[in-house]
Formats: sequence, structure tokens, C-alpha cells
Amino acid sequence: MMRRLLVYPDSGWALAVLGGLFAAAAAGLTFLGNPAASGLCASCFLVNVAGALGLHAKASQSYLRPELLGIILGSFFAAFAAREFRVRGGASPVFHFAGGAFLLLGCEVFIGCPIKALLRTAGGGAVGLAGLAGVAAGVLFAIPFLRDGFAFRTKRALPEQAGLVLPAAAFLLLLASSAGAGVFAPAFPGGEARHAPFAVSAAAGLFFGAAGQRSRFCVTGSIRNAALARDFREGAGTVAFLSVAMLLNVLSGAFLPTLSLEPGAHTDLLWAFLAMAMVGFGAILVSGCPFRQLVLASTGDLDAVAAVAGMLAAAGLSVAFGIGSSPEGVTAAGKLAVLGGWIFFLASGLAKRRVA
Amino acid sequence: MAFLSGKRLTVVGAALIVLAAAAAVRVGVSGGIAATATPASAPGAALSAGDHVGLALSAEKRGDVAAALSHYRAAVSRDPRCVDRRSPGYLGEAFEAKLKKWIAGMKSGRIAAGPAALSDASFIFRRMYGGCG
Repeated sequence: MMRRLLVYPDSGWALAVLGGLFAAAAAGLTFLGNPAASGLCASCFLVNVAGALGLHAKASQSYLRPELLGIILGSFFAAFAAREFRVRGGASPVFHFAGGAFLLLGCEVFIGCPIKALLRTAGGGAVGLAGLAGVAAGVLFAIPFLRDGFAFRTKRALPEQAGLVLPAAAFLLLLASSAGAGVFAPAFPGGEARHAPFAVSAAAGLFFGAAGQRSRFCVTGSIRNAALARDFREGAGTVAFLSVAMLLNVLSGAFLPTLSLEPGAHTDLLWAFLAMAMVGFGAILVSGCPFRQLVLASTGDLDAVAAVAGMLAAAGLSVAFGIGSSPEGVTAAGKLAVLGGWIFFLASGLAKRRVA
Repeated sequence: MAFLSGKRLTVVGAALIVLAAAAAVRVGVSGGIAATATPASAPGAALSAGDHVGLALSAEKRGDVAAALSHYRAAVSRDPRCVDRRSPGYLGEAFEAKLKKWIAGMKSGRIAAGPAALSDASFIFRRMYGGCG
């Protein structure tokens, strides 16, 4: 039974259990110090890491997140142990780089990745719910493109060393982070991004990565599979994640149905929806949400590595150019980034169909 | 969505690209890409976060909750560390408790400070508790 749960979780109940564990771990990290609804958020973690690496100068959003480094290492070890570490790529690295960048920008306009949209919805946030609805709408809109044969060139096998670069970099950064070298000159003592204790975050990251690799956990992928193939197994994981997160919020008194008091959020429902619809649409074309890109990149997919590089670059740009939203609201630069993302993904989607 | 394929999908996609491009032009022209939270010409734009906190405390003493919240909001906009527990500039737990009391009071109608004051209080609350960092 444990083997079916942890090593080959492909049944609906196993994926639901893992989804629930993901939510519990995310809630635990928030309880121990991560910002509200940010126990697991690939885009927030990337923005924090971008700051720690000097790609932007906002100390309060800078921290070499052990969760993110753990996700990379956990996925790598899980794939390696299951003999699924295969270095491949060449499908369309430029598209993946740009696509990854737009995914991140869309997430920053909403303030969170699709997983955080679940966590925000579970906290009672109306804007979180608008974002989650946007993700679902975007994924559903991408289905006709898939039915029309949207695809890239077949990935080909590549030299194994290339696939080891990202896990090796994550390992070295985790070492540096454990020695306290990752935070660059916080504005005041402890001025880096709010976070849970290092060891707990790293352990949770390893779990997220390993379990994410084995279960193929992906919010956008679960909606796609349900809509396209009537396969609801991954959807069970997503629903379990949302349900457990909501239950824990209710039990801890953190559940507050609200539009204006959602922690860290803006109140713009329209742009939350449009931004996350772009993310949902784009994630299907790029083959996965930001979290899934991290997992794929760690298992030797060099196109996903390009997407992660694009996300990291965009994370720096997002803060430096005021693209990301804040409780003040959505900026004009953010709206332009969302519209630019729509144009990019629509043009790519139309151009790469087999049926013209 | 089965009807949406082939040429129909091309037409819909092209129309959405045109729509997005038009919206981008509109945002670019009217959105003020370099706009900041507080325009330079706004009243009190030259004041620091500390100045606004001082004005907020004065307004509180007068019993003017709306003016106090407006100044607190301006202070937080200028320096978000005002509401970061780890910062030396943190306004304090007493301020947090007061903010929650004001929000509850305005929502229940016990404090009549107007919708702008509730908006200011909600902004400070959102800024205090979340985000990506």
C-alpha cells in the first residue's frame, strides 16, 4: 500500500492522499513563518530566490528559499531512484524561456502561482477564487489548440551532464543557504522575506519535489486531463489539496470569506482572472504550471530548464519594473505584461497547430 | 468546445490577439506606466512615513479615525516596514489590535468614518499579513 502511495501513486485515492499531504505541509510552513497562503508557491519562491541572487533589490522579497532548492533536489533524487532521470530537450527552448517568463509575470500580477490560487481560495479570498477560475478557464481555452494538434518537435536525448547542472546548482545554493550566505544585505535585521525555519523548509521542499515528481502534481495538468481525457485521478489530488487547506483554515480560524481583507492581495477581480487565465492557457502550451516546470527541469528536461530560467529572469524584472501587483493594486506595467502574454501564447498556439 | 477548431479557432485567436493589442495600447496610453501609488502632486506627497505616522496620531487624538487611517495608509505606502513585525519601524501590536477594532467597528456601523476609511484600513490589513515576501 505504501509502495502504491509513495513510489507509484497513479490511483485517484493515492493522488488525493498526496494532495492532502501537500496542503498540510504548506499550511505547516505558513504556521511556522512563511507569509499567508505562501506555504507552497513556486512563483513567490522564484521571486525570493531572484532577489537573493541579486536579480532585484527588494530585500523584503529576497530569500534563498530552501523550499525551492528542496523541490529541485527532491525531484531529482526521486526521478533518479525511479530510473526516470533522462536528459532530453531541443523541442523549443526559446519558446519555453519566453513562455516561462510570461507565466511568472502573470502569476505576479495575480500574486501567486496556481497552487497559491488554491491556498488563497482555501483562505476565503474572493480574488484568489477569481484567479482559480481564471486558471480553469485558461486551461479549457487551451484544449481546442491541443485538439488541433498543437505540438513542438519531439524531444531528443541529450548528454547527461547537461541535466545535472540544475540539481548541482541547487545543491550548492542549499549549502550556501545553510551557512547563511544567501541573503544579501537585508534592509534591517531579519529584513528578508518572511520564512519558516531553514531545516523545516528544506525538508518540506524535498517532500514537495519528490512527491511532486512521483505524483505529477500539477494544477493545470489536472484540469487538462479531466477536460481532455476524462481522467479525474490528478483532479482528485487538486481537490484534496483545496479541501484539506480549507479545512485547516477553518479549524485554525484563518478562514475569512472576503474581498478586501485577503492578506497580501489586491482587490482587482478582473485582472486576477485575466492574469491567471493567461497562466492557465500558457501553462498547457508550455506543458505545466511553474511548480511542474521546476519538477520537470530537475528530471533532465532541458526545455523545462529554459522555462525555469525564463521564470527566474522574469522574477527579477517583475520587481525591478513594478510589474508585480501589491495590495495597492495592479500596475499598468502588470496589465501590459498580461496582455503581452496573451498575445505571445495565442500567436504561438495558432502557429504550432498541425491543423491550420 | 468541439466547434472551436481549424479555421474557427484561427479567427477567434486572431480576434483575441487584436483585442489584446488594442487593450495594451489603451493601457499604455492612459494607464500611466510609471504611475506610483501616490502621485507627486497629491497632498502630503513630500512627507515621509514618519511624518504621516505623526499626523495619524494627532488625528487619532482628535478622534478623527478617517484622517488617521488616511495618514497611516500614506505611511505604509511610503514604507511598508511600518507594518512588518520584524522591522524596528514596526508600528506595534497595539496598532494591529487598534486596526482590527476599527475595521470591525466600521463594518458593524459603530464607527462612522466613511467608505474611504474602510478602504484605507483594509489596505493596511492586506499589506500587513501577506504577499510574496
